[in-house]
Amino acid sequence: MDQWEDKPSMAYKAKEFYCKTTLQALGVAFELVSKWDPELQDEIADWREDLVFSMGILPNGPHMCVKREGRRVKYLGLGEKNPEVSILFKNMDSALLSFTGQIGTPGLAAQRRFLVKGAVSESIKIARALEIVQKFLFPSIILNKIFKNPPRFSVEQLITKAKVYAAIGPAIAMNYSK
Amino acid sequence: MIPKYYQFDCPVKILSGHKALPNLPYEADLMGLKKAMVVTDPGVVAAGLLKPLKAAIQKTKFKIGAIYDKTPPDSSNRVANEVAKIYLEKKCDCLLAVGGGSAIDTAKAANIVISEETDDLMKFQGADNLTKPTQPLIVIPTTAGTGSEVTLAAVIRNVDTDRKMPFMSDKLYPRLAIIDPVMTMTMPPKVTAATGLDALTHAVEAYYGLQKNPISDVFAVAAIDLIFKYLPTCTEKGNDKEARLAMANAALMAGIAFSNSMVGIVHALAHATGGVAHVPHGVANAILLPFGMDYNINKVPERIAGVAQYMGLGELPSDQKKQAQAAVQAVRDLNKKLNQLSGLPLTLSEAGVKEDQLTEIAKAAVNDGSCLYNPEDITVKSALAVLKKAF
Repeated sequence: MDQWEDKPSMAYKAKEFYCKTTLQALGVAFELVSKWDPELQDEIADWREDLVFSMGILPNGPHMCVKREGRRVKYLGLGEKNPEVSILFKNMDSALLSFTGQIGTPGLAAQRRFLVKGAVSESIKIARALEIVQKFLFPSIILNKIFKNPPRFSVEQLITKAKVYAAIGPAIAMNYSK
Repeated sequence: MIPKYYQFDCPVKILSGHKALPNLPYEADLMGLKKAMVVTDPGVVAAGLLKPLKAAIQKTKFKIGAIYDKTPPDSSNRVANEVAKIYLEKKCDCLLAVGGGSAIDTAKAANIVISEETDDLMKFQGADNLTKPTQPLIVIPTTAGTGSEVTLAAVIRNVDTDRKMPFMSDKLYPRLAIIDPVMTMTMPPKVTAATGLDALTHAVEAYYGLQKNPISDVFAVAAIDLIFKYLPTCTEKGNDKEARLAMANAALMAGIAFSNSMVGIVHALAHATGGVAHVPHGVANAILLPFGMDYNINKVPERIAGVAQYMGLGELPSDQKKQAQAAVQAVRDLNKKLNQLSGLPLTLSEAGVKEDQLTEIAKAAVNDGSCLYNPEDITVKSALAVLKKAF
């Protein structure tokens, strides 16, 4: 029965570390892109005032939280922090399909890889905002695969993408303890 | 093509056919149920549809503990709370929904209130948010369209926000659905046409949606086939028992299909049109379906073409795109035929929508959960363009 002991394997620990780091990067990128991209700012302006959103992994995986502040979001750090809306992956492997750019939000929904807690209409707005953040994180080869239509970039957005790539490393380091 | 991953579920026992209703007490006994609370609406009572129910259970151990017969067309969380309160006061052991989508969804929502011991339905909206076992639910549909008798979903209006709240959970599946044509015979032609086209929309959207799977496809095409064969007859000759039974089965199969594959742009727009302009769901779906199919035709031509052979079109063009266009035209032709037979509106303006409401409808539609499952991306601009075409 030893092989059934509830002790996480190295593979599980590696997946958990990757997911935790990706959630941190996503939270930080959300805050960064919301500072610079008007398209994301317009989307956030339609969220409920002071809305706290969490993305996490069931049953005991990591979570990250952001909060609406005006037309931007603030990354609150890892953990749940009383969110009004949560997007929860059903397990670590489902989260990895998303975090490694294999499947986008529509594909994840079609495969029932996540569930939503809170108002559905707010979660749809958040999903659109997350897609905008993904535009600035993933290379085009991945975006073309995971989006319904290949995204288009204005010159300003390409500059923003470069700024996000330059700033995200230091930003993760600065927010590491959150 | 087989999807990389899919799920399918339908745990509902179905009794379908003439004299199906008299089996209710036997089935209730099998489930150990003794005292039901009936959830219905004034239209069902006025049409005398509770009489066959009363006749079916007389002199049996299965009793009616309470009747709620005031369900409005767009039922709300307040109504669900009221039903739940009566259910608990009268110590019933199951819910028995007799009616169309609103009565059935009210029973499902009341079930959430009872089982989760809450008066705040809002907390449970969305998918998979119910944690406790629900009360047994038996459904006897009196329309042939909603499919709610076999789905895991309920849609209820929040009276505070005036928005529709979706609930989806395996725990919301009815235990038993009784499809007896005697319960749908009294439907007027316009309601028959609208609910039938609602079922067609479920089937077609289930077939072209992103969550489609081989099993939901089977139910979807079987439903489309029956609807094209029997809906005009049902609308023209309401007392045709064979046509009524066929349409009741079509609605049920379309319900199983979309419960597992979800729906798309037509439902997103119809939900928003209902919310903003109070157009009945079936009517909005009927008007918008050909425009929704057309919207997706470049993205998934093979899926739109795939339904053409079940629409009674005879020999189809060999070109896939032309097949898809033929399917869209077949739906338009069916709408026109039903318009002549029943006066069902063909455009949003005929249904009472004002032109200055279209932008508000488009803005609400893009926040509908159905958008996720539509093959083509939906923006406010593109939704507005579809609405203008359907206006």
